[in-house]
Amino acid sequence: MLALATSQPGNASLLGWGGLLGLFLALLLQLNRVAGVGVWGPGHDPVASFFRLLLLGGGFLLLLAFQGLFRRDVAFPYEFPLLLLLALAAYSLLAGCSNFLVLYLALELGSFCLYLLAAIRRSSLFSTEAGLKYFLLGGLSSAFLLLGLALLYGLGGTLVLEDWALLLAHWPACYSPPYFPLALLLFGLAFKLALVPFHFWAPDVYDGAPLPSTAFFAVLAKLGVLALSVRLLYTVFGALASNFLPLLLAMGTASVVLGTLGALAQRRLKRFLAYSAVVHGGWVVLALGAGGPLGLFAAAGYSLVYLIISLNLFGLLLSLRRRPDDNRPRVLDDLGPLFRTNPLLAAALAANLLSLAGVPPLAGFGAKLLVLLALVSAGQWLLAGLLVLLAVVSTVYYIRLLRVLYFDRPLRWQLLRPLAPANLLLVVPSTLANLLLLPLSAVWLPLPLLLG
Amino acid sequence: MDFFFPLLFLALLPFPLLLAVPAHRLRVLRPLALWCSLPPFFWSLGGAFLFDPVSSLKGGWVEVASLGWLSSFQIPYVLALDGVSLAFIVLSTFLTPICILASWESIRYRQRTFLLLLFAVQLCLIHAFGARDLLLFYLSFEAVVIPVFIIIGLWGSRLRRIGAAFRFFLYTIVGSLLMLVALVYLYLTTGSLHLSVLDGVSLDPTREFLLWFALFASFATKIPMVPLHVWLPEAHVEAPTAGSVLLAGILLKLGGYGFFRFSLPLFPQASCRLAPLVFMLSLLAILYSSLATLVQVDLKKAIAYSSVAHMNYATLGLFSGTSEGLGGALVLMVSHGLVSSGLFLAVGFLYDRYGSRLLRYYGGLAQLMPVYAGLLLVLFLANLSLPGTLSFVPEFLVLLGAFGANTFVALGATFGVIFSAAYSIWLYNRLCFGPVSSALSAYSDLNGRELSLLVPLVVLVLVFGVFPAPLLAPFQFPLSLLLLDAHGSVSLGFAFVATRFFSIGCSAGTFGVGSSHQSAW
Repeated sequence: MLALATSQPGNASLLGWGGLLGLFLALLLQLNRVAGVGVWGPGHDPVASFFRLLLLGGGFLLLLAFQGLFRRDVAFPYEFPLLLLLALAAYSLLAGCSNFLVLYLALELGSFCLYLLAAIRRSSLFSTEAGLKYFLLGGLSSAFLLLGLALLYGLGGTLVLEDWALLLAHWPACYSPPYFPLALLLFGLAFKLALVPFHFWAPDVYDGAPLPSTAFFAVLAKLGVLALSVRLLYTVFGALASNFLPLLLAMGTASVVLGTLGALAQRRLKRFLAYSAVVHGGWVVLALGAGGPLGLFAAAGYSLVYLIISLNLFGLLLSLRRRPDDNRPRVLDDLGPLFRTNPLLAAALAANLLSLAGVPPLAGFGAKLLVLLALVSAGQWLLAGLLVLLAVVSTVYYIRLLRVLYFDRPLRWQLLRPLAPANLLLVVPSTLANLLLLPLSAVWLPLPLLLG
Repeated sequence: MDFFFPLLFLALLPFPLLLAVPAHRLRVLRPLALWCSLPPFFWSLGGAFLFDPVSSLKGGWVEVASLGWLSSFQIPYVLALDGVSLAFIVLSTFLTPICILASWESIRYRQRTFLLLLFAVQLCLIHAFGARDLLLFYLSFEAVVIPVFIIIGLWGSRLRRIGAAFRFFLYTIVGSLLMLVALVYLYLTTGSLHLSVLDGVSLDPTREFLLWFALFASFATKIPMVPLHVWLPEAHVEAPTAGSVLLAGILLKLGGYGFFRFSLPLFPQASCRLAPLVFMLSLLAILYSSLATLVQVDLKKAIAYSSVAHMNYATLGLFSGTSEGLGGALVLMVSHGLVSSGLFLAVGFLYDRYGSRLLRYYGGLAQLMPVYAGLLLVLFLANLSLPGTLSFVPEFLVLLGAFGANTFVALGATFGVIFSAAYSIWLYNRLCFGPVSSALSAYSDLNGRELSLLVPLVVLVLVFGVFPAPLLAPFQFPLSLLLLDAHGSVSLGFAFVATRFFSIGCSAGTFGVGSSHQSAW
């Protein structure tokens, strides 16, 4: 499915371009399938196609943004694009898997790539620490997941998703359904999504890993696991929705509350992004927890918007360099009065931040509105009200960043580096999509078609 | 007549044009911006002359722009006109060239960004006043906050500007997010947010009350009513002159417009039953902010507090449920848009000259700047609603309406008139009369640019003061429709209210009489 034949060791840049070509081909194939022209292969379903499309498209753009990096940055060995492609392959497999074993293997393949990506800057103590932390905690959660799967196999004698959906739908009334293994499964996924009781790894790992890896964790890795969760919820857990939806709602609410409060206290850029990612993960899970077709629609719409915004945001952050030492910005104040040195870049960043905050005319508002609609139609009135209040609180820390960008006096650094052309390619269209809800609604329109 | 698409085109045109000019070429940039800001104004003014709401008879609305937007959610992009929205669109397009002229020299850096933000505000305002769909209104109502936030934070005069910008942003966002919840509820129960659909929906009283409160929170913050007014003086003081003009001239009106357009027609029962609450808050605001104006030492803060008082006359009129009160409130918003803009401009001229807004450094300006002092006198007299100026007409109408609705409140509000006379005269006295302050070493009277800013405002205030009929006319038809409509839905549950509305609905013509009566002044 994915062209990985490009993996000859050697020139990282060449590998990157080859990977781009492969991803582009895969994207075309995927589009082809969505358009229904060449339907082939197993497990064709619209939700998986949608998420796979997002994954491949996002991966393509991200790799494109990294291209300049491979050429300039010696700290990134040629393994970087390779691992990225491998992880992407794993996650696209995950989006459409039909067997618990495949699920586990694909998830582990992706996770191993992530551990390596976290620790890829070998000379850096922080990066190594991040990799180790991620590996230990990730291993623990995988163990739980595996335990859940083993229990399920022991109970039902099958690992096929469809069989389990059938089994659970016709579960004999005299036995209680296998809540425990399913909960273990859910918690394993919640760890990968960094939802609140299982989010402790996220700030440390995001902060320690180099920024390109962080971009991958925050955007694509999350999206892949999300695709899997959607798949599980609407197939296997479908029969037990009434039992698991409250759990999802609780985890989502906790993520939004604690993520918002956590982000308020952050001074370091990547920790801030980590908490912000926890919050947005919470919103998506809340949409899923609302259940029903509207919930699915809201989750898909929110993921799409989040993908656009975060790609844009990371593309921008990747292209920023402090002038005297050529390092990336580390703390929020490093973003300095970007407006004074590079107003276009500042405007793009501001549009993205406001969009993440959900301020009305921007895309993020539309996404939040969808989730609120889903929640209210599921009867979750108070929750919707609470979310609205928390959205205000989150506005505080986003516009605080806006203040750093626009209003502060220059302190120490001058940020000035023209954008790399590849980054421009990433940043300009998504900023435009962000600035207007209008073109975005055109993106939403095919969604119902995709979702059937 | 297609009104909106050309207007939107003209309002969008400045963005590519200004971006095409290099940011440092101010001698091209400023005139270009000024010339770009005139066509939208003339277009909307021409629309106002040609506009005839009665002949179109589509419920008083002329639906002139509509696109299949978010069509999978049945949320179309609909802009429409009636007399009220037209008046406010003209006001916003009128204030844009004024803001550009006002910031001609006082904005010293990043001029292009500033001009772009001004045009962004204008675009949002056109959408807000033209929206026929609640979601579109909400979007533009909120969107306008972002450019104003940046204007205050970036070009404000002191370091406190950042706190002021934050306060402005957060107050308005908190207020309007409650409105968002109401919106979501309305959408889910009715399947649409189009006003003509929502008009026909009847809700049970408890829900209606809750929804009314959600909208009230948002509009009352914007207008602002007393417990929620904290952001306003700060924002005014810290904003550059053009920002203050925008805020006082048109942004505050979004709240009043929201009350008129959404709260009253959609929730007539709640509006009727909760009118005493609004009366009380308005009365509190009128008395409190009038007294607060008396003790201010900062000129801009004083005008800001007097704005709060005047805008609360508008809420008083809006909820009086009489055609006099409602019409008076709408005219008051327009007149306040002219008068307070003029006052803020005048203070801005002083600040440009002497770099201070503190009252104690000024005195005896009448001897140094006679033309300025003369124009300022008219504006201050208009601020205290002297008969013969535009402000007198609506204030009289509002008190008339309020007297019919609640005599006690009208009595209390009359004290506000006395207070406004007190602070206006005292303020003017300290500013222009007496010995020349020793702080004013160099002086110069108004130059051509400044004259061209103040003179039209002063002329308008005086002309409409003696002949207010053309200003009242566009409001008449939407008003009588609203009152008749309110009668229709209220009569279901509240007979005693219905009779009162009915009597007014029948005598909707009195408004015309009232206006001709006013024109005799």
